[in-house]
Amino acid sequence: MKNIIYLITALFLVTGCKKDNYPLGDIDETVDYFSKKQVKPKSQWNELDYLCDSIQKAYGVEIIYEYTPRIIAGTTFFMPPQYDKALPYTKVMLDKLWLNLIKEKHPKFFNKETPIEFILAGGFVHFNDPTTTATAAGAGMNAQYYRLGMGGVNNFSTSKSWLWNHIVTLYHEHAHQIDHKYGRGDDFDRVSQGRYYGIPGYASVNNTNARKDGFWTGYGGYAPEEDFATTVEYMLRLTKAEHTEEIRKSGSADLEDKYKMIHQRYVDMGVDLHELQVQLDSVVYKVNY
Amino acid sequence: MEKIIKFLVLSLMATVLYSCEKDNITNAYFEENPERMDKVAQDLKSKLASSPNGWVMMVKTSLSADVYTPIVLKFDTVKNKVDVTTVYGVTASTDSYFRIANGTGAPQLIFTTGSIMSTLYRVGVQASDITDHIYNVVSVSADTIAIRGYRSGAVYKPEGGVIFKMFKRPEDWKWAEKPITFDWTSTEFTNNVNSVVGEMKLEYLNDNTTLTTPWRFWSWADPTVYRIRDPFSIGYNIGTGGFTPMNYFIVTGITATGITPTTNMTVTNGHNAISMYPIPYNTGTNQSVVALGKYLKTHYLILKNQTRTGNKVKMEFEAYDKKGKVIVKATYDNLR
Repeated sequence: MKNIIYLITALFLVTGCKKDNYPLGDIDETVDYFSKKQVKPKSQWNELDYLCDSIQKAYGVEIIYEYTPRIIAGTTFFMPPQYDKALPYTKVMLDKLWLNLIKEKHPKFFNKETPIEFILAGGFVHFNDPTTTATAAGAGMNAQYYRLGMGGVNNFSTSKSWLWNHIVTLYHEHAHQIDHKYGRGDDFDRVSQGRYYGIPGYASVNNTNARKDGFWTGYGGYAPEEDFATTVEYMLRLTKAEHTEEIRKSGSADLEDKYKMIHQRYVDMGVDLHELQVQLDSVVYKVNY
Repeated sequence: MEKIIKFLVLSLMATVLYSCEKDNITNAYFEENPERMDKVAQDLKSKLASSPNGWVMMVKTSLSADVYTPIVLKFDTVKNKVDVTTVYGVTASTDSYFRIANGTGAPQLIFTTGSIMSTLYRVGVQASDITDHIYNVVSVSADTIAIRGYRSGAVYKPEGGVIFKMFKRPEDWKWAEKPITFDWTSTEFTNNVNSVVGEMKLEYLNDNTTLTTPWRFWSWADPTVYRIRDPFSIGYNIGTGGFTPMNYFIVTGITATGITPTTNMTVTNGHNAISMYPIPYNTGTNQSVVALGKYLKTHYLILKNQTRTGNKVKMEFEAYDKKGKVIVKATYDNLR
């Protein structure tokens, strides 16, 4: 009797609720609940669609320039890029300055650390309200490690200073991704622990004073995550000689400690940022687009 | 002991049975009736294509009470391109794209790349009551397509913006096409108009009143040094696009309460229109152009027709109401 009861119980337990774990039923991967994912038929492809397709084949990165609710959630207010800006941006910035260079010169870093989606934002990144005028380049869009994105695409220009600023900012945003993926590490956070400026303090600190305090810019001193990203950015923004000189002038051991940690982190991931600086400088300044 | 075990086992079975009761929410209806969604989407596509001159959305702005801004949308459903024209500036000849997507519950009409549509979404209430570049399709019939902004504004605002009932572009709205005949870069146009003290006579069809005022157009002598800027300024406009950098010129000589005849009102060259929109220039200029619009009871005047005989110039302008009907008629005479 007892055995039969146990058997029935066991049967119930095994077969009972097998399929009902999800209140919405099994997730059907083919259904897009926001706006069904409809692949653009090839008959409608424009020049940029062909370019995005070849970039995806060459580098494994899906470039997204058309907005649907699947791409931009209802709670974010990004402006789609203009087609006439998105096309040269993808050609010059993404293909030549970013992906081609990193794949060729730093294959290990490229293979492991390249996101699989890249979103073009025409304006800057705005949460909360479409009519605000702040100018954040990435702001939270890059806290996902499969997807990177950049704001300000509609300002695209082939001027050297624009290209240079944008590509080093792209690596700044990418550094946020690395941070989210692996963490900055406890050692990094302890260097300037308790001495970050916060909001609004950071805005009133100039570069010279920030460097004395152990940060590359006032914004870098805002919080540890920006400290990390600006440390990466300034290895690319400055030549190695300028970089060394800035550390010397600052007299800050913290600035040097954090630089050494992050430099080594990136070397371990397959890229010496000082080498990358030279290579970026040559593709931006030695080639005309 | 055995009774306790039996009791426990029975209650376990009861729990298991109870928890197996199904109250799952599913998308079964949509999944099992894909043809219904496809039909509406297909219907929308063919209706968009059915008006070769395009469709019109009338949008409300905070600048005028009764005058609405027309937005003409011309869809190329083969290449998914859309051409957007309105009065605030001259439409650029760059490509903009749209897409029809099956959303959940309603198909969507999405302006997927930067265009005048995303510019208006970006700028806010002074230019229009557009609150998204993504629209749910509310209804489709032979002569009306009703669309509704997916969002109604900032993050905590409810879902769903204003419902716009689009109608087919009236045949005689030639102003929405090219070329630009109201063109301050052309000396052919500015001749006998620039720096001439003329007169503007306005008729208000809703209350049968009129207004006549001295009117002097004025601009810089050399068209090559024309003042060119973005209608919504670069800093404010980033992330948008759709307009060519446009020219601005001056309207002066108005005699009205609160406006001295010497005030220079900076107005802009719209798409075959005078746009009395406060381009971000400086506070004083912005206030004076808003005051001009309030005085004229319209924030734009669309050029309908012009006649030139000898040195005489006459221009007819108009502005529209919520339904696209003419509500303001204006006649310019250079008094020569």
